[in-house]
Amino acid sequence: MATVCKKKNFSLKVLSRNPDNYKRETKLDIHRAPQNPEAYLHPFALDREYQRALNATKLERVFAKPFLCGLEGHKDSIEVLAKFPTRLAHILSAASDGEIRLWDLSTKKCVSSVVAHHGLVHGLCSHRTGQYFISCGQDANIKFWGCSEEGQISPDPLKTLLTKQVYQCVDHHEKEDIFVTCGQSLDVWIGDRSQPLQSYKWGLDSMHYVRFNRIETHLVAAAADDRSIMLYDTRGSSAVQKLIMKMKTNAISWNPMQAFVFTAACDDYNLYTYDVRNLRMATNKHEDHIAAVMDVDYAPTGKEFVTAGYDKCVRIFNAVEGHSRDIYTTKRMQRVNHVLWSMDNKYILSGSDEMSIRLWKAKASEKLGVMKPREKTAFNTTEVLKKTFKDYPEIRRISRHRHVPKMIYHHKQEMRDIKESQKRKESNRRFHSKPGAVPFQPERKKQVVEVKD
Amino acid sequence: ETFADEAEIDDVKHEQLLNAVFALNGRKRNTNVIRGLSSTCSSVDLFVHARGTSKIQLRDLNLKQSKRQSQLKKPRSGFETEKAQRQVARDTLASEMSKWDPVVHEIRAATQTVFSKRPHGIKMYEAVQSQPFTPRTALEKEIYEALGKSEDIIHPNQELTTAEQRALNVMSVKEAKQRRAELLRHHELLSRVELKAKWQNKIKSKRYRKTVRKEKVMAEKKLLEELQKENPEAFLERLGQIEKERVEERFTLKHKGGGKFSRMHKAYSKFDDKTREAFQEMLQKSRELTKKQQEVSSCEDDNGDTNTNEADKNENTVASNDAGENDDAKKTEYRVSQLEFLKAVNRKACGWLDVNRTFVHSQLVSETNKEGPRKNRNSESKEKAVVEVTLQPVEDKILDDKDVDENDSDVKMKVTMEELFNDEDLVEQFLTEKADAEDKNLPKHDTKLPGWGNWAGPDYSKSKERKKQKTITSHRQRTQQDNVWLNPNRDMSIRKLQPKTLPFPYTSLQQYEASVRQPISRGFVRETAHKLLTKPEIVLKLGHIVGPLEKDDYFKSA
Repeated sequence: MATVCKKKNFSLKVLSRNPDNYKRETKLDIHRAPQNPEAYLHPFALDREYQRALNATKLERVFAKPFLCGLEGHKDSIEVLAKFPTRLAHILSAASDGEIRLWDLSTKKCVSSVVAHHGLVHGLCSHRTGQYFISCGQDANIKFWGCSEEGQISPDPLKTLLTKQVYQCVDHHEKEDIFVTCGQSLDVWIGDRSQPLQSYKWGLDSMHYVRFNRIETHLVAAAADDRSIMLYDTRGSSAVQKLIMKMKTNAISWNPMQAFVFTAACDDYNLYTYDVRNLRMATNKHEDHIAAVMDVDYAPTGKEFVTAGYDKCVRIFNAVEGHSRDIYTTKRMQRVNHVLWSMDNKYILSGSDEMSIRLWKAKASEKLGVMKPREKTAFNTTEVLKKTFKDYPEIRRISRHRHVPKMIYHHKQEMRDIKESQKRKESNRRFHSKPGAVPFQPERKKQVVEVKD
Repeated sequence: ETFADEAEIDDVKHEQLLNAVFALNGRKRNTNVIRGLSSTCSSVDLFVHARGTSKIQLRDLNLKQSKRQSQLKKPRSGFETEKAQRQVARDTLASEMSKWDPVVHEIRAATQTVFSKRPHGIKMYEAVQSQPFTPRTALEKEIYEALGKSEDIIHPNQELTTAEQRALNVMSVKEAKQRRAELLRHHELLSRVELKAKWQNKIKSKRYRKTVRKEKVMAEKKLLEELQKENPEAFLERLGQIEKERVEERFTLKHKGGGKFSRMHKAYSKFDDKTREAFQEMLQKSRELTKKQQEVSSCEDDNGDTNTNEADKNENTVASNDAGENDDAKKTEYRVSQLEFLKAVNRKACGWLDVNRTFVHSQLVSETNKEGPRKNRNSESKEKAVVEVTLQPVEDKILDDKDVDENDSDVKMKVTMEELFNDEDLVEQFLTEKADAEDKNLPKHDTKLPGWGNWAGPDYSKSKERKKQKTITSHRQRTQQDNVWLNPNRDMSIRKLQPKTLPFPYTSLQQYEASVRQPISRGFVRETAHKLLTKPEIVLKLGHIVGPLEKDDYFKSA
């Protein structure tokens, strides 16, 4: 009898192992002995890990040396800082005497400088290609300067636009050849034109800060002198919304990862993160500065931002948390006017009143340069351990500890006392008055006066 | 009267009827403005008026005033248009932004974000095909002429040399196969040998190098002997070579002093045995080299040379041994002198040194005569010397007497537990103690009234502390039994190190404890688990620009 054999599609079960897991890492190591990870064999695992976390926290504080270098050369206080979207090593800075300098961060030297304007330089921003940059000054000019790959600024501006008003700030579109300037009105300029394409205005007050949204690139946020933040849509011919707060906003920064989130740095010592769709209440209130906050900049990962304060310090906040994770100060650093977070997420630049720009590490105890794979794994493990045990009092105390100048320390205490007393008084008033007479007001709403539609 | 005549229709009632019908629908009737003639005015009048020169005035036309006056709306002011536009803009904005919600949620909730987009300006090129090597510079050409052209070299991509390949081509297939296998095996063996030699050369262990050197010397000897027997010419040549090497080494002048080796080792030879030995070896070598070989020059006999060489070598080895033995002898002498000194001391002390200890003296003497390892002897002698120097107090002798009367003391020590605790009422004592301790932990009533400085001033912080104390509740575990008291301070030391409140995202203690108890480090968890648990939150590439999110990556452009 003939039997028909069918060929079946058979599946073969194979053990698949990653040799990284059982082989020794280098030829200089001993061979790995397979360890039994059963819990009953490691009764002190928790304590040992806690100790490791504690040691890691201590080491973090030991190696927390964020200051890298100071860039000296300007002869007047730094007005603006600008970064290139296509270059990591080059930074632009403008001073109050109208000079613009281009710095190379890898050599920590000034590559070229040019006297751009008579008087203050109000705004500085680079073109999206990084081939040239735009500056606007007190002499009511907008100038286009070319800069080469090596960082040489063209000695004469490529183009000069004579404008009718003095513009306070410039910002360039993410994708197209459009830039926006703000002063008495918000003007949108396109390409080569010598007149603004469109001019927006709402109310009588002038605007002093403007920023394009990095993702939804038609959206613009502007801070005006009437303590308001205005949103404009450059596709339309009108504004979108106006948020009036109790105190003036000094700077705005859009989150580069989350399209509808922006953070505003206010004169009332706080920063507020807003969702564009609901300006009536901030999504987060970041407190820690003891004087007006002058500038904000988001990290390119969108998870943190850095702030410059009038109180001579630079603070780094986690985007979601209400208090700073780190503070950078120096005795020699005066009022910090501008901060930048570099595009590779590793460095922070601060420009201050004493004519110098400082380069800091974004993570104070980070090891710069290439890490070997074993270093990396050790680093990752310690990071996770620190995070796991971060609420334990010893570890929390050590990781939170910062040596801070006397002025800031005492001021902070004062602010705390003020806050406490206000809270107490409010609760007393509520207690001694008719129920409902003194309503609860969320902290994130207290700064909002009105949202104008 | 269902069908009424047209003439009898009452307009007003008709209107009312229509309204009622439409009202059933729920909607109001669409009444348009009808400009019609009133009953008073007839069409004839109009015509009459029109023919006339006088214009028709509006008041001549008795217009019906409709109830709802819907006027044309006033055109909006700038302010209002702007407001409307803003409303539109806000709505579009809201809808556009809300489509980003899922993306933002994902970003916020992600445990790891990897930024791996290529930075500006990086281009990808295809892998360049490797071209065969051609010498370009003069040096390369020279070397190629000398070595590269040769047919007996295996190039990296080949398995056999060109000469071998040519030979194979000539043979028959079967033969070629065999030969090929042979050749490949040969190459493999050679490569193995090569690798082994390479590794061996890298070994830095001193002991190994010494043994290797000794082996080489032995091999040389053997070779010379063989050559002497078999091939006298080669033997002569070899000797000549040896002589040449010797001369060269002597010429270098590195075996005496002044070189780096001698300078370094001179300093340390005082402290370290090994360096001293090495230094001595170096000096020996220099003596060997500089020794006048008078026999060599005078004697024409080849054998004589070898003999003298060998003799030299033997002499050297014997000399070294002698040196060792001399050292040994010196040491024994020292020890013996020590012993004598101690004996003298003992005599002077009038027998204060214990009899037992003096017995050790004799032991030591016997041991020095034995041949044991030098080191052990040294240490032993040192130890025993220390022991011997101490003087025994007389009281020890009394203790010795006591050791003899052991049984009596044991009997005396035996006392009943009852007798011991006869006088004390332990249970009552314990209870009072327990009560006191419990009371201590309770919050006390502060009879002291708040005085000056309570809310501000020098005592301010103290008052705060007192408040804190009041709020602390005592953790008392009551037990049924009276004779047990669980110390509430047992966990105090560790409670200081533990968190006091449940941290934010956790809702129960078990959750938090589980998250903390989960080990992360390598030994406590398997490798794959370790890698998963220690994933970094942000993965960036060094030197790469991290740009903002691209809209095109998430949404199709319209």
